Amino acid sequence: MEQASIQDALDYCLANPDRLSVEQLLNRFPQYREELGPMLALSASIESLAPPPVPTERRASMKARVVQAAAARQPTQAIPVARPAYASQPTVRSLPWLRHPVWIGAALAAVVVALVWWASASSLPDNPFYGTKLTTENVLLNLANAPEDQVRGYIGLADVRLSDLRTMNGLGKLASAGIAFDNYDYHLTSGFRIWKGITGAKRTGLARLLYTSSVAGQRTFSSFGNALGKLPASIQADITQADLIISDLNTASAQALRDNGIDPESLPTPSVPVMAVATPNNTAIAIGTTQPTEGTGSVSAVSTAIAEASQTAVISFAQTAVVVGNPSTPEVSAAQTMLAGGTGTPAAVAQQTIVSAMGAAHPELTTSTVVSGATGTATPTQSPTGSMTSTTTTTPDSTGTPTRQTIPSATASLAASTATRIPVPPASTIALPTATVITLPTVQPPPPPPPPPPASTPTSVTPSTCDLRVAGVDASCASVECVNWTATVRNGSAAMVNGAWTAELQINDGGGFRTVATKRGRAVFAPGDTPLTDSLCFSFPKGTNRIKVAFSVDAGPDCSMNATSKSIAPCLKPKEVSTSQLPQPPKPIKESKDDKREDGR
Amino acid sequence: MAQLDDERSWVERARTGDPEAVGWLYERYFDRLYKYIYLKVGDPTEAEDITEQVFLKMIEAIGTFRWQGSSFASWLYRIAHNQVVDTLRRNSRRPQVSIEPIGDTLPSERGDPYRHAEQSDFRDHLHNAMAKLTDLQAQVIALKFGADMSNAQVAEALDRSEGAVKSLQYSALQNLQKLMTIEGYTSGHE
Repeated sequence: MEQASIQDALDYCLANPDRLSVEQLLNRFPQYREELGPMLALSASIESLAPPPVPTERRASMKARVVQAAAARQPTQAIPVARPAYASQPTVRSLPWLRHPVWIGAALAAVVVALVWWASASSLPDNPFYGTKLTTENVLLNLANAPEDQVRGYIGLADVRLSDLRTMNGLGKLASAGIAFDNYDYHLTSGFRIWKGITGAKRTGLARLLYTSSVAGQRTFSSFGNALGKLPASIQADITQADLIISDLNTASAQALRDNGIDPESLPTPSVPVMAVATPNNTAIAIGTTQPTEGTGSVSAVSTAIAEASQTAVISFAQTAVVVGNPSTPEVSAAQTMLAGGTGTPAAVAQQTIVSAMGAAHPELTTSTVVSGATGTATPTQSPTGSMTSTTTTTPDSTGTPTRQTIPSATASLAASTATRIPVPPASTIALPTATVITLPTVQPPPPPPPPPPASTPTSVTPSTCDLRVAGVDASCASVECVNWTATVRNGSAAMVNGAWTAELQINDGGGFRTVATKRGRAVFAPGDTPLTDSLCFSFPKGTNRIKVAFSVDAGPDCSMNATSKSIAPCLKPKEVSTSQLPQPPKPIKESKDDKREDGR
Repeated sequence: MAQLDDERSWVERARTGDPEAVGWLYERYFDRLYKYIYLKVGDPTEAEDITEQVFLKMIEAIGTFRWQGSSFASWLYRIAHNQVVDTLRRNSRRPQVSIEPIGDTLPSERGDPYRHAEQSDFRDHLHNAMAKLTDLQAQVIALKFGADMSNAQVAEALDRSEGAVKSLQYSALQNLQKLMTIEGYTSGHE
């Protein structure tokens, strides 16, 4: 009988059709025993290496996105929506008017406008309410079902974060803007990831938005200049990450545009920083000349405008623009000049969609009509506590073209609303060749409080479902006895999550890895990524060949997760440690204690 | 065969964008694709993202899928392979952070910390060694042990003969073993 080759022997052992034990298998091929033994052990280890299970909720949401993407390719069918518990309520299928593209566009715009409205709340990253602001944004973002809506939402929020960062930079507080940097990375990455799964004309249309946003990011970050070098290491890491994402986004979106015969260089891009951002008394703001590209209008432009204006909204449609603010201020003057340089002609439907959607979504807004082909404006006043009706009429303008007018019936409804809402007085208009300025009183109402109470306070909660994960752990030598570690905890929920963390220094000195030092603490994890940084020290025994850091988070029942760093060579060579290399305290940590121990194993 | 015929009908429905059929294919292939991708990238977060991308690509391209000479599974794994290659290429210019989720074997709180450390160390070294295999060798390992494919299925997916697959699987395991030893991997059982 012909002797089996080792390849055949291995294949037989791996298939193991007779269900033999390893010993029996090796006995069958004694000539290859020495070589086959370790190979079978290795293959068994690989086979048993199970990846961590994907949480049910995340898996379901991934499936929903995939199924929705499939449904989106059915042009004649309604988008399948997972039927909620209240399935007896009317669904999209039973509301045929919702199938009409204009209404879908209006609904979409309403969601996005609502999104940026909340984002326009005045809190900044150093404000304790900032976490609530981010939470509210995420909640609103979850309303977007279609991938393209999600991309718009994510990129819009990334743009809003850029605005926050520019504001913080202007105030000299960039070092306190870590959460905004984190959040910017998160939104940009998420938007980019979803966009990559979109095909066809929608992909190209969104590529314009992404490209514009990437340019805004590049310009914003480069505008920070020397300030970046003075930032904490964790923020610098965020910035490095952001640079990479922006670069990828820029390259991919530019390529997508070129593939469709569009020169990205020809696209109008925002001039960043556009203006001084929201001034203390909210008097003025301006935006770039991002051109509307789709039926729903230039979401990016509106987002940026509202965010930068904080309390004063600006809608810009390139050559047709409206600035709400005090025209005597330099900001408005500059805005006027800048807007006058805009190019392109927006689609009327885009203007109407956004204007009417803003009115529909935000009855608390005072909506005015602007003359001479300009668009509507919306000026957020106080927090939405009541309702306000508005009527929309269509009247011909001087050219005979119907112009949509949204006229607020503010008097009656405002009177009925709560006292906390302070409407903006009727504005007078000044027609300009390319921009219209609506004057407002120089004394503005106080900035609106943060969005309505999604949660009564921004304090952390214990989640009902676990949406935390350890996104990464890194370890590096700080000194001969100390290891710096950084763990990134990703909170995929919209709520702050309070959790206990444990970091363990593990060494392998010949008998496998064992824990030699432990640190514990608590932290509040905001939505998005939260990096924790600290050090662990231990006098490494002779024979230590690898070290690593294991990190875990416990945020309640069924909400524990962990990860370890890549193992590194021990920090055996003494070297001078500069002050900057000394271990930094973790952030954010409410309490921690050293619990150095020898396991004695 | 009944199952394959069944799959064929679901695939045909999925080609028309039928959400139910797409959902069926998702459930059928998710775990296997996820493990296959995880073996190649070594990072569960990345593996999740890529798995989702693979399904999205599947939807995009399913209209072009032809049954002649290829099973749906091998077609799907080719998409996964391409997606992994794209991701790794993109990541190659970034600082890498090794992520080793320990799953349910949290040291000192659950299970045996030694076992956890061993698994973690193994995962680390395996991932590093996999990255140094030839593309075909890594494919064979991932398809056999991640996607639970038979030699015949691997051969079809890679457009190679079954004999070539046997040979590749031998050289892949041999190289993995050598590479892991060179990198300092020592089994805790030793």
